[in-house]
Amino acid sequence: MTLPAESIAPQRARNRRLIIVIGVVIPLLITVVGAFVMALWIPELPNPVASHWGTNGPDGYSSVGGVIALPLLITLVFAVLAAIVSWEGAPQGGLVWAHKILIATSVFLAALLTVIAAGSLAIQRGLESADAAGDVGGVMLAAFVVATMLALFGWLMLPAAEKVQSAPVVAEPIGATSTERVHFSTTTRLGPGVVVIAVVALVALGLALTIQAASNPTELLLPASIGLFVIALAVSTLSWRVTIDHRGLRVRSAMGWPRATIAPDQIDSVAVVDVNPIGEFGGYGWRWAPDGRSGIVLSKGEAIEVKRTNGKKFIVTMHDAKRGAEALATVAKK
Amino acid sequence: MLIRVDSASEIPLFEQLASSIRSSVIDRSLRAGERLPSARELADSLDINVHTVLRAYQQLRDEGFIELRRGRGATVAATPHSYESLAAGVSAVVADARTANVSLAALTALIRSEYQ
Repeated sequence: MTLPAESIAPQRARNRRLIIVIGVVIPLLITVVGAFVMALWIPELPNPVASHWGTNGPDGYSSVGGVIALPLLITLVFAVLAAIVSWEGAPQGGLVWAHKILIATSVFLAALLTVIAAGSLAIQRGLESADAAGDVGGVMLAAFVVATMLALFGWLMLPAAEKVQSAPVVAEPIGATSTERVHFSTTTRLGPGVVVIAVVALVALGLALTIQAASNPTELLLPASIGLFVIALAVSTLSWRVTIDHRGLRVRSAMGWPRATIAPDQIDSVAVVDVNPIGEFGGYGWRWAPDGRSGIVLSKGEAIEVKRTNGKKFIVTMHDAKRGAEALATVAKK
Repeated sequence: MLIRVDSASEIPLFEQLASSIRSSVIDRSLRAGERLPSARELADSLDINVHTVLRAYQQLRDEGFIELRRGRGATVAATPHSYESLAAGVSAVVADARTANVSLAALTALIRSEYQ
């Protein structure tokens, strides 16, 4: 059901006020108040202050200004990003769960970073040298609890997530005789806009690894292997080969792995759906939605939705989904 | 690309296969440059002989619909023709043939002699 434009506008305006207040104003208020309180303590603090703790007390130091400014900077960047991403909202003027998570995370991040910074400075008040600073375990725990409670409060202030799921259209088998065989195959790819974002992210990851390799080669092995695995996985999942025949549905990424198969006897029904990647799956790639559906989500628009006999649903976005769904319904029937 | 072959049909399997792929190129569900499954893969998928698939691929290559290259397999040829304008004319001719009770064999014979 689509609401007329005039009834979407007031709701969208209301949501934008909430995005600004909960996602930007409250987080910034928390960090600014925190920074003000910390600034009042400056005369009583050692210089430099301890900013990093190892197993045997402080092992990293920085200037007071740095400790005060960091929560402000990170929160500002994240809050602005969260607001920009959620600004357009869902098609009906509401917010989808992915937007709500971003806004609540903005509150969480502000509270967590501010309490950690303020708490770690509070225990250093009146000390001659930062070396004598006590343990920060309690501060970290308190920061986590406070941040979680505030984020939860922010989440509850937001309206219920709008469901953007389209109604599935059940695919009917092609009028095939028992001697007829069908084969459907197609290649499904990530849209060009998303590819640009993915490439930027991967280049940044590659750059980070290069810097690590140059500055600290001894600790390179773990980040490098994780980084290369992420890059390989991302590249291999940009394009998938989909095949439907008497063996069921098979999806295979460009590099052969990951892959998935659903045999005909595991299929309960097949339908065509309209997918909104951000709204329903929170992004692109091999995805799991909060409602239990999973699948290959590479583009906005038509997709086949396979309901398995165990009730789980698997989705593949593709061009020509109607024909694919009919072919799969045909083999599932036999 | 949707392929349907019926082993009980009078039309030879390779001909059915070629006709399915041909329509996929014409209705653009297969795009220029796209790779077709290998003959082995398609034969397994449809449970037919690999030579049947190869025969269909060769026929489509002779018609200019696909390109066969060693090592690259079969790819859809970059066809400069637009089949859309033809489709309207063809459906009109077929409708005429139906009303006049002209058989498909007779109609194709007419088209062939006109073409040559």
